[in-house]
Amino acid sequence: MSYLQPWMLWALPTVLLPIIIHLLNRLRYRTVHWGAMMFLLKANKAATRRAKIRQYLLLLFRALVILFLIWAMSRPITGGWIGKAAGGAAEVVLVVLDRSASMEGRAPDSQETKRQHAIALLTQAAKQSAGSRFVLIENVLRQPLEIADTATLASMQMASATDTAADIPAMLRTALDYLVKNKPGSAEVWIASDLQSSNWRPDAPEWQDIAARFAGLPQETQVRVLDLSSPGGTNLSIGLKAADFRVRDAKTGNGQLALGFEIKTNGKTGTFPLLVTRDGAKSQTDLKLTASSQRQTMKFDVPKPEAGGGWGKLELPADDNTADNTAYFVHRTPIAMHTTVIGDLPLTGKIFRFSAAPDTSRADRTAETLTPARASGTRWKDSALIVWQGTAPAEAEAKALDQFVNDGGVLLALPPGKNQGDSAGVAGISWGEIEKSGKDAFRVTAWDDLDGPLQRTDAGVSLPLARLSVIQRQMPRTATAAAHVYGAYADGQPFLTGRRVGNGFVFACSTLPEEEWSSLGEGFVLLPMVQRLVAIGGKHLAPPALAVAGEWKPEGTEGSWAPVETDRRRDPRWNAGIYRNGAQLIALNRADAEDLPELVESARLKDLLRGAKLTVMADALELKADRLMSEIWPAMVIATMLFMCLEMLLATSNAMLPVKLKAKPKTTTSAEKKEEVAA
Amino acid sequence: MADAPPNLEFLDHGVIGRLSRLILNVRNPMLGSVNGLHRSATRGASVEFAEYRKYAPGDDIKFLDWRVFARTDKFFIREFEADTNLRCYVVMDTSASMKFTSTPEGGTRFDYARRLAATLAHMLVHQGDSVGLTCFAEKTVDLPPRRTPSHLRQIYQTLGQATPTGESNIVQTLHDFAERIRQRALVVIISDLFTEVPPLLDCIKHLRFYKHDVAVFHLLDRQEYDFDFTRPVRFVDLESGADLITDPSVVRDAYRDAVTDYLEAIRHGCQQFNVDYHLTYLDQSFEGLLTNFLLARIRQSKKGGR
Repeated sequence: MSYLQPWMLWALPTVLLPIIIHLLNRLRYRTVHWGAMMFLLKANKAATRRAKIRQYLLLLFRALVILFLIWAMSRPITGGWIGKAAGGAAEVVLVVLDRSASMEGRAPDSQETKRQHAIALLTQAAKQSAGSRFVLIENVLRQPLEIADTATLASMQMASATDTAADIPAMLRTALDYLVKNKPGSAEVWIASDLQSSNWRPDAPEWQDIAARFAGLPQETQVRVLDLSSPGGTNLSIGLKAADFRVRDAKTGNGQLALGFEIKTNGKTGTFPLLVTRDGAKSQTDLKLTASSQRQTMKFDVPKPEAGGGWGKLELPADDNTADNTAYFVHRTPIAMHTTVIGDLPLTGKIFRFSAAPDTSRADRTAETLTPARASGTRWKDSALIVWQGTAPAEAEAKALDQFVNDGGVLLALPPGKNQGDSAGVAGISWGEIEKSGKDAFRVTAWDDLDGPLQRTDAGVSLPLARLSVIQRQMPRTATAAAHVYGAYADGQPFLTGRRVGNGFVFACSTLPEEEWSSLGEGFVLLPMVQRLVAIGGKHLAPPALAVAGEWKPEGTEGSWAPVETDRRRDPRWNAGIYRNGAQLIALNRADAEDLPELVESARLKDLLRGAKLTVMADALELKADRLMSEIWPAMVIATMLFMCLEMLLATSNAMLPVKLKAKPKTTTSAEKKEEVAA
Repeated sequence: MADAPPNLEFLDHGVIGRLSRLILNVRNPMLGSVNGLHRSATRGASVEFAEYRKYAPGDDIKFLDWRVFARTDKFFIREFEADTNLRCYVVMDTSASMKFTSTPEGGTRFDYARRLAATLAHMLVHQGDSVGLTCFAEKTVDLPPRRTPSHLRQIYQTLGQATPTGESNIVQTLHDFAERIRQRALVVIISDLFTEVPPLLDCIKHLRFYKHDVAVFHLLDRQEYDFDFTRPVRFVDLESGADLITDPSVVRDAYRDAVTDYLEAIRHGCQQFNVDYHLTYLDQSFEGLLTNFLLARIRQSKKGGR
């Protein structure tokens, strides 16, 4: 229970007033010399017990009248989250609002989304902390924003629905920065979140830091978590994985659009309609769902897209979370992607050149081979992929190569083919000794078939990596710890590793396509692998067509990006959708992580936020906003009146009197009677 | 008269003057030593015919009724009532509780009692009856009944000197008194009677056993009945000095009940033993009380006939 006017509680000792008055009255007695003591003693004995109880009851009622009156005047608040807090309102309340896409979900029987519900609760809670300053920290911009009037929270743009992901640790860091910078006397942090694990990242090491910083705050900081997690009703989500357009007819530019998407469901399977919109034209297909997570690729023959690209979206029927039913895509004619193979093994260079540009008739894939000595002639700007084999590049080339990778290009480092000792090769990778297999070749037994260059084909077929036989291998030694292993041999040594450097990637393969090295040159693995590397590296050559809402930052002035579908007010900073800037189009989609159903357990929160005083308001979804807390002074006033009435009744009635009040007997004496008779 | 003139302020000559037309009568025959106003238990020489009785040898033949002898040839003696004087004992409580008054300007209970005693004494002496005075508290002051004016003066002096102090022992006093006074008398008890009722009634029974005419003036202050205190009061017992702090509003009803029960018991007891009981509140007119008292007695004696 907390109080809006807690200073009124200082008046609480006045509850003792009736008792003090009673005692004073007793002290202020008059002394009477009394003759008829015998009756008095008798009466006193008879009267005491019940009369004393009555007296005490009267005192009690009077004290209660004052108590409830003061209580009412201090305007107590009860109920739930806010009501549990004792003491006055904090000087600053930081509202950490998770408005990620998952917050658009609904409780099964509710019309409100979690975000709307959270805002309703927060608004209601804020009403009761009228003396506090409210600072909103939401997940997109993560800028502390002072709210002048909390009632407008619901209509604020900064609290509107988004398709972004939330980074709760980063938001808390922002909150902590704010607290450290502004040094409020007392502060509370209200976190409204659905506890999605991908937002909270409970395993992130930065929680250590956050807990320590909370513990180190000079002011007492209460953290209240509004737990909006729900078991979830029936929800389907669609996430776009790829939108590839391949030109089939070079003359007309017509081609095929392949839309790779993933549909997740929490239990509900069956056939669902999928609404496909392409360049404004709608069509509907039926979708059969059999598993909780299903990847699928749809292919359409489409005419040559406009210069900016064609656009469209995939829509699922409305369900409990309407925010994750749409996936947007933009496709455009692929641009020419150049591959430069630099190496001193001519065969390897040739194989890679053919793998990168197998069809010389197609203009969108070109490749050339260079020797390391002539590496300076590389078309750094045009290349999507650079395959480097052999000796380390010269300083100028190394610099250019770094720049290339940082800009988003992909570098595939191949073994130099000879022992080099500890000297570093390309991209700082040093290579181990050449290992030769015995009778049995090295086999690749594990690979990442969901993501990366070794993923399944669009048709869902795994690459035949198991059929690879590697006779010689040379392990990239440096920086393998930070790298993702895309494929590994049976003994755990990596076949293909990759790591992100800047905007690009550096991959390292541990064998060569030469005959004495491996069967990689047969191409059944190499071709798709190189093609995918080209596709990854090619992304930076063209402006992006797909991006994640919230992560994508529009270049130039913000206002120049406008939604294509003008019927919806959308903001490219955080709403998914198709946006146009001149001829340029971009499709923003929800972060994939938002579709993950994993939650942080409430118990875990205590551990994560162990530095702060934590209150978790569980099952906040079931809490009605008007029941979050309510002023109960009317009840207090009623109680006051009730006790007043009781007091009055008791004070005036015969109840509890020692003896029943009899009609006052006539006090006329016999003498008086005689007088009357005589008269 | 070497003594200093007694303080006679308790004598109201106006009242005495107005009451002088009345006499104080007794309700039953007395056995006096001299002729007086009152009926005697014996036959005597008054003019009031009492009865005939058969002549017995030794009777004075001057009382023979010759007319009856002439009619019936039998000897009958005419007997007449005897008129005798009255012995009256005024038994006055001088215990400390008599000091009480709720209205100091109206005088204390003791003042009232003293006036009553003095006026009665004056009247009785002036109608030729003898008056004795017993003032009792812890100690008892006794004046035997006499009918001389000098005795009356002595009574006044005793009354004037008396001060209400100490605890009353009315029960013991009355028993002793009853044992001491064997001759029929009028016993006027003036007291607040603050004692348990049954022993008190025993005393009265004792007195009535010796055929005394008992009159009781039960003096109460109106406040002692009404108990109209509002604020907490520390009650100090006038006699024992014991005190009690209490909230009168709490005990009032119980108190009234106790008083009512007590008064009822006394009234009932007095009726039973044919006691001339007068519950008197101090705010009642003293003269009216006496007038009523006297008139009632006169009426009673007339009704009873001589």
